[in-house]
Amino acid sequence: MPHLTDQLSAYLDGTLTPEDAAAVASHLAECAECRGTLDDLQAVRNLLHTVPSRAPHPSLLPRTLAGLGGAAHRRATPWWMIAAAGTALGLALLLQVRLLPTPHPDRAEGAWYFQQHAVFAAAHPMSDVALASYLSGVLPYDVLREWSPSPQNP
Amino acid sequence: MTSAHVALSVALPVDELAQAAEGASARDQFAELLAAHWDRAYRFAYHLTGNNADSDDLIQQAAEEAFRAFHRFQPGTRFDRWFFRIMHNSFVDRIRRDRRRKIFSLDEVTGAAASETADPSAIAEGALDGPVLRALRALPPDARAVVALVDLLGLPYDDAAEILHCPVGTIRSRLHRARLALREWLRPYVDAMKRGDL
Repeated sequence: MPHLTDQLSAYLDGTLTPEDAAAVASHLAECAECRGTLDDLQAVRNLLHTVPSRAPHPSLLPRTLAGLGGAAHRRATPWWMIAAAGTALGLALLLQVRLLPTPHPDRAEGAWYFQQHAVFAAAHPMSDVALASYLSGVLPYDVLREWSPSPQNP
Repeated sequence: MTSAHVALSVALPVDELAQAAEGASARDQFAELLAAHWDRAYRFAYHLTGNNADSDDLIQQAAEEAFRAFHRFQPGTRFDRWFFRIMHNSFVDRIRRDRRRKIFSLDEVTGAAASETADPSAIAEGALDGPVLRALRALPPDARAVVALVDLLGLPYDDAAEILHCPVGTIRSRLHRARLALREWLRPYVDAMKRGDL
């Protein structure tokens, strides 16, 4: 005869249907081991009932409610402010793109960079600074070209 | 659909305070409901976390999350069950985040024997609180939550299933296994209780 398992706890808690409860009672009448387990479970439940209630600190609820006000305020501000900030950022990015000079097509070529660097490094001690300035958009390409090795600018 | 799922879909009893006065702000309604269920919610938080500091943090975090979601709370349902569920979800999230916490397997600890001996005067002096709470804390979080809801707060299985978002059958089996584990850990006290010494 298989022993009862979680039906025992449910029986103890009175959550079984009348039919299932009757079946458990019938089993218990014949099974000393399950009766012992039921007694143990009852004792465990009684032990748990001895645990005293834990009361929260009296200031916890007021502090919590006060914190909720802050959370609500933080939520109430955003939608128009975020929209305005997003629009401003978008405009700023757009204007920056429009205002910046179009890069020289050669700039995109990697080989051009190394070639120019080698030439400038040989001709001008400050060529790295000049090239970096150009690449970062500070120095116009025309100025850079004027510094290129040439009969006027060896 | 199982009977457990049918049970979950049934609306819970109406919370008398959920029918808050019309015209009151959502914040006032929330504060009133929270205050009405505060002590029991704290007990649940305490038994989940096992200490005052974590209970304070957990219940405050749950209150904040519940307030943010308050527009989704359905008047006519039980606020405490709704709040407990949010709090338990927060607790589970915390455990997942906090890798320092060791989560025990119930199978791993079921066979552990209690080394203490029961002192009949313990219950009279309130000293029984310590061993029982230590045993509770040693349970895995999901089993601890069921014991807290059913045995310590006295909720029916259906409500525990609603709060923990699982079928009633799972509540029943978790509760049984948790009680068996507690029986092993608290064996001297269980025997003393059966003899009537406690």
